[in-house]
Amino acid sequence: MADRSRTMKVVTLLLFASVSCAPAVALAGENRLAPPVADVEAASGGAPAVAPAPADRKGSLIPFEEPPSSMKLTGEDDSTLLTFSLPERLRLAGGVLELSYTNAVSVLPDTARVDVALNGQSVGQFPVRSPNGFTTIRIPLKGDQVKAGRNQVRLRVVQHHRVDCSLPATYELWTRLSAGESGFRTALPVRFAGAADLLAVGRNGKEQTEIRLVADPAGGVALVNQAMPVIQSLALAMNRRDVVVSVAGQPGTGPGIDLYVGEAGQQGQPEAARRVLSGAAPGLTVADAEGSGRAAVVLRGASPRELQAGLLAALRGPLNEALQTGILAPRPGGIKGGPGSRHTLADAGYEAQPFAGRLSRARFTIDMPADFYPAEYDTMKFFLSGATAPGLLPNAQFLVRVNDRIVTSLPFRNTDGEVFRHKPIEMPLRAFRPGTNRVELLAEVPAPSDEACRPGEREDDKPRFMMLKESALEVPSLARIGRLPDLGAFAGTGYPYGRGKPFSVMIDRPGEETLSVAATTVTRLALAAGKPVEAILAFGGVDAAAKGDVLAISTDAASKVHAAAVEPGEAAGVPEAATAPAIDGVTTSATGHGDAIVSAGSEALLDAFRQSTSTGGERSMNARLQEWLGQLSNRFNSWLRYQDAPEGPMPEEKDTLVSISQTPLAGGEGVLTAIRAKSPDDLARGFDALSDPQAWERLEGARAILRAGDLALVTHQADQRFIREITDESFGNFRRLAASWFSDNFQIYIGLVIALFVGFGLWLGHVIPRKGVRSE
Amino acid sequence: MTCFKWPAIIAGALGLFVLWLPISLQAQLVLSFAVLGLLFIAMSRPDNKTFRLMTFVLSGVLALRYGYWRTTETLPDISEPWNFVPGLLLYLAEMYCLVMLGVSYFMLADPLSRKAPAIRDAAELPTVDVFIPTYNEDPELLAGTLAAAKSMLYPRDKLTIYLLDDGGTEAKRSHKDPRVALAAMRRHELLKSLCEAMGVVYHARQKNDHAKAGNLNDGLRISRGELVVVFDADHAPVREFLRETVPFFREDEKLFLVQTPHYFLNPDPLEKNLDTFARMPSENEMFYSVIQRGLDKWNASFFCGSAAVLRRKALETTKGFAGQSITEDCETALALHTKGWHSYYVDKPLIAGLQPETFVSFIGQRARWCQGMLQILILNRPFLARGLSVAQRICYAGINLFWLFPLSRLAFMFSPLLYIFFSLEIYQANIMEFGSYALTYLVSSFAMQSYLYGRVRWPWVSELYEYVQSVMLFGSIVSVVRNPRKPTFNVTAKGQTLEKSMLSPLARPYFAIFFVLLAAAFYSAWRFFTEPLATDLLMIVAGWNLLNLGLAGAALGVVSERRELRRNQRLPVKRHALMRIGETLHSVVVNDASSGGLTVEFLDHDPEIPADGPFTATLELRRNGHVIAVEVERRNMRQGSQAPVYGFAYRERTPETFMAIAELMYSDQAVLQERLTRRQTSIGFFAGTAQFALWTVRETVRSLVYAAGQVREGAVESLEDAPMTIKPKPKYRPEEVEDFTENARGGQVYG
Repeated sequence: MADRSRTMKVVTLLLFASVSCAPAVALAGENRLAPPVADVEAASGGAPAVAPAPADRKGSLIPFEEPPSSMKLTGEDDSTLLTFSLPERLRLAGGVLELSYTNAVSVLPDTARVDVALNGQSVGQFPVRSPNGFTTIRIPLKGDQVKAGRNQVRLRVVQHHRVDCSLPATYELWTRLSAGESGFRTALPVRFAGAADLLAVGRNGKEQTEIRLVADPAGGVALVNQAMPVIQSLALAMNRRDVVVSVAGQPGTGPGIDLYVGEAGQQGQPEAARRVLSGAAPGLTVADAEGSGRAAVVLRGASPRELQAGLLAALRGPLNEALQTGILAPRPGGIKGGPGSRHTLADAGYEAQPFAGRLSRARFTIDMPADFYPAEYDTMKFFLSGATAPGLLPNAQFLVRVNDRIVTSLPFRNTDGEVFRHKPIEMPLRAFRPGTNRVELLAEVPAPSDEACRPGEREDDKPRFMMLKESALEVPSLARIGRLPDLGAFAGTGYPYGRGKPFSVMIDRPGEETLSVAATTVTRLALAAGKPVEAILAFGGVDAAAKGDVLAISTDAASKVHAAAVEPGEAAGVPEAATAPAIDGVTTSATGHGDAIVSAGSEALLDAFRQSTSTGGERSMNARLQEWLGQLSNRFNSWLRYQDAPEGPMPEEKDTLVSISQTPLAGGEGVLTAIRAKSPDDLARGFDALSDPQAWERLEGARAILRAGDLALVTHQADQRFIREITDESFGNFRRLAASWFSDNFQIYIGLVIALFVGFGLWLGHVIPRKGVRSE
Repeated sequence: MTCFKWPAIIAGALGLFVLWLPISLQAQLVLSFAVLGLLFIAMSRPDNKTFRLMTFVLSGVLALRYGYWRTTETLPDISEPWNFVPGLLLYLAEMYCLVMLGVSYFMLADPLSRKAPAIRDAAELPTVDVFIPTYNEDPELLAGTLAAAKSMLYPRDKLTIYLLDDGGTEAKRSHKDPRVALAAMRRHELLKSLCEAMGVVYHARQKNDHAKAGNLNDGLRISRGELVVVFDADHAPVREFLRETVPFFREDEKLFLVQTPHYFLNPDPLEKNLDTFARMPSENEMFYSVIQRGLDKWNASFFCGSAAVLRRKALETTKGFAGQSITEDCETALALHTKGWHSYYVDKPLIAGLQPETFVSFIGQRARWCQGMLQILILNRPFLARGLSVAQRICYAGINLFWLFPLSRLAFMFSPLLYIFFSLEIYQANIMEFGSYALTYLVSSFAMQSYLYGRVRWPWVSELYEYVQSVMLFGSIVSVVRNPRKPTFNVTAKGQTLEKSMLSPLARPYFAIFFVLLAAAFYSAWRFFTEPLATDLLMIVAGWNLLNLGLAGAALGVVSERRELRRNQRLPVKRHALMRIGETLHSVVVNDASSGGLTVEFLDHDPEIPADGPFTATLELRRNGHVIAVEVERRNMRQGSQAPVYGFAYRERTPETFMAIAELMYSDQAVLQERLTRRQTSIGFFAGTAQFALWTVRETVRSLVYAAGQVREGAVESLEDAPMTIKPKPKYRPEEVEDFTENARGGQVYG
């Protein structure tokens, strides 16, 4: 059975490749340019104002495909691109764009508004005034305003603070959509009749897109293995980063997809599946499931060949356009950071608008290659095209934030206004990481009138800054080497599992929770890699002599999972093992829910003791000097270790809900990525939080832990890394690699330089007196 | 050690590759500190050649890292031409400095110290012709030089001295301007009489073609000596000159030149106006005490126009002295080096000369050197010249390229202004990068400067000399680059006096630059305290501008000329003599002497000298039992540290008097050596910087006082020297022929 599953997966991979390649290139070109920039006055002036309207629940709500994190608009002027997919047969009837939103209390209702554009055309605007809960705005759309397939909705919010015109106050401003309650409500109910209709499936109560494989969790992994290509294909077609996969004996309830695979009589099929499969036609069929907005997907086939044929037909047919316009197309708000490439902001979906506030923010993501080695051998360059208005305060500046850290700034010194034409701004490569990186371009443009902030004198409408969409990001030639552990590359690109080679997924015990986590993780890897991955699920521990890469799901602290892994420093042939520890990381921080890490360990205890015993009186000059020197020393040491701040301690075992870590396998050829929890319940609860796209894309380093108390994510950099592969064997790459490695291990570099030149100098000391006119 | 050759070369190549890697700032910072630490350790043993070369290598590591970083990370983007163009110019200026640093390390790899071989037999000595070319120098000055040349220890029959007078040529004497013609005729007659009286050959050619080179070549035409010695008109040799130089020619058949240093009795304008002459090493000592010795290692020490011995046979191969450029000396050496001839350098002061006293003449001299060297660079292309070894190519290219320093110095002076006034970011770095790369490189450079030149050059003095010349030489460079054949030879005026302290006629641009830099300093401070986003770059640039302002302030002192009433430069000789007063002989010590007079202290008891009124005495010097007497008259008296010091002037100045003066001043090389050595001490970076800071403040104030016309100086009585009187009565001391071999063996006898 395993062989059958494997055969099917291989075919699926090939099939996916054949579907994706050629058209993707053409479409990438088509979709690169964003719709024409709408003039802001015309858009706002010509757009009809819309107001909250009573609900019309006749149709179905097709949610936006983007995760909830994309639906929060912050600052004074922010925009986001959202997409929804509309089946052809529902297009003509039109529908209503429903935007359920709430906003920060501090938003001034008089001037705050949201402009809504659909497929590049303004369709309305509404005031922002719902601080006490969600209000739903409904914008009726006619059939000729929407299109079959993916529609793009651009929301731009302009909002100001009620009482505070300072720069810091702009960070308090936000307006957020409800991912579950926003989307396009069709005039007629959605009926799931074909594979393309699956893109209209709604989100569940946790604001997740659920694919449930109806299979007996205790019935072995064969059926799950058989289903994984289908699950991955569906996830790729839907292109939703919040997809979760569950494996259960019963179909689910609420919006989602129930998946049935195989034959009714097949081992591991629960009763519900037998019933559906026995009445289904061969191949892939889609139908309404029981419950509101739920689809049933059946892939019936007696043999792997039949299953492949059914999936193939769907991928070539109804799902093809979904793939081309979704996972294979440039991601809205994102760019692929290929070495030596250049991308304009227009490529990232940015549209230029004059900015009239104090803090302009433009965001996009950049996907860096999985084997990218971040170091100082070059810089990422941003070429700013734009202008500032006269009359700004001298502290106006342009900032670039990468992965939540300010990495560079450009002061706007000329208070008489300045025009920038491809002004280069360099960003350190070390601020980036393999996989997805978040880049935020901030323009702080305060004006003298902000200080008074009087209602009648506020200049909330006078433009202060504009960044053109011709502004560009240039990626230099990169050092390319596969280095592990790296959870950032794992979550962002599926590395090393997404390289087209089969790998094992070892699950230490059968169960709904473990299988669901395994299937979700594999699906996420496929989404990250942009193609199906070849995972082979199995129950049991990890074989110490396993070849290739392994993904392990464990719910037992004493699991054998770690027995197969090599402790850091034991890995044979790992160059980093010879170097000083912990010099290879970017800052680790608590992310996810934004709470600070609670200090632990001896240092924290000492700090707490010192604080509790502080007399509170005036301290001596000597004590203050010592403290200042201590702080200076700590900062310098952190800087030497490439850390913005010292790493916090990892939570203790008892505080850990779920952890994910990477270690080399004892065999030395593969990597083990282990997801661990103390119990299946912890695994389910923890992984639910971990799989939130916002947390998932923040995975990095060698180990990440979700704390039990507050579900905060704590990551820890690798003390040592091992080389997995070198794909680029050019001289330039080796030079960049050498520079990177020596930067990370500069003690060796310095020793080498000194040894080489002292040797050379000694020889010169012998030779020179004997050259020319001899002096000896 | 041969077995280490390839591993060492590979290590060097690998080291260069490793330095070429774009490593992190953290790695660079630690590397810089580690290398600096090793550099200071290596500097702890300056006499060890291996350690010396190690310092070069380690300093080179920092320089290469800086150059790499400067090239790859600090240049403005080409899409911003207003930043890029000045940024590129500054970058080129810095790269020029880096190249010059490399060249100087090569030149100074292993400086030589030569010692003259012993003379076994005077009969084997070659014949020597001494050429003293002159154009417009005073006859008194020439008389002193001729007397010193006549006093050189050498067999009389093998030594001929020629005064080659270009001021009395036939062309001059028949000049269409009768005043010029009359002056030339008088000069001609006077010098002819002087030469006749002193037993020197006077020669004035027909026309003044090819300036000094042409004059020397005409001297070659009329003479036959195997060796040719050239002394400038103000360069008086010590007695040992030929003993210290001629023997080398017997050792090396291919030797065409033995060059010796130029030692000066008077301060140049910087030394005079900053009042440093007594304490600080002179500017040329860096060249003569360090660089020429380094060039000598690579057979590239070159002819400096005077105080040198040349082989006639070699000069014949190049048809005499080269005259294409206005620095015929270096060009001649280059021509002879390309033909395979050798040069030696003897680091011993063997002549005493004069420097230009005023800033105008100083700049005129430097403009000639600068243009001449660039003429050679452009017209002779020494780096590509056939016949030179690689080492010689590097050395010649280095000494010629050096004269482009005005371009780099001005770039360094004005670059900060572009950021301070216009916010042009022509040097893109933050303060950490600057600290890790530039600052550590600068520290190593200053340390190396102190290590290599500390004995002969105080901190910041090179920069000051460069700056004061750069302002004026910029035009000279532009002119010679536009038309390399245009520059003409100008004789440097020497022996000038200044009646009162005043600003130099050339002072105006220095004041303008100073005030611009001062404004920039204030404006940068204002920006720093008012701009909320004052950048690292502003801090760096403001600091840099402050340094420039310090240089510009000190330079104001250089162009604020202190008065100079002294016509004759004194040399402290500390020599025993007898003074006959009436019938009584008194033992005296001659403290110092000049061509106008001397001061003495009486050793035994105070003589009976009336308090005022005319008073004459006879000073008697002894040499090898012979008495050299000279009549003197009292001028003044002052209380010395132990006894009264009496100042005397020569009653008359005949050729015999000048011979006595030569005996008094130039009979002992040790006098020059001691004076030179006494000043050659390193004061260290911090003391030097403090001294420089003091100059900056003091000289700025002084120059502003001068500019405001507030100079207050009392009248000083200046008595004329005795006029030169020529009594044609050649006097030889034939015994010197016998003396020579004895003295050559070290048997010097003092009077």
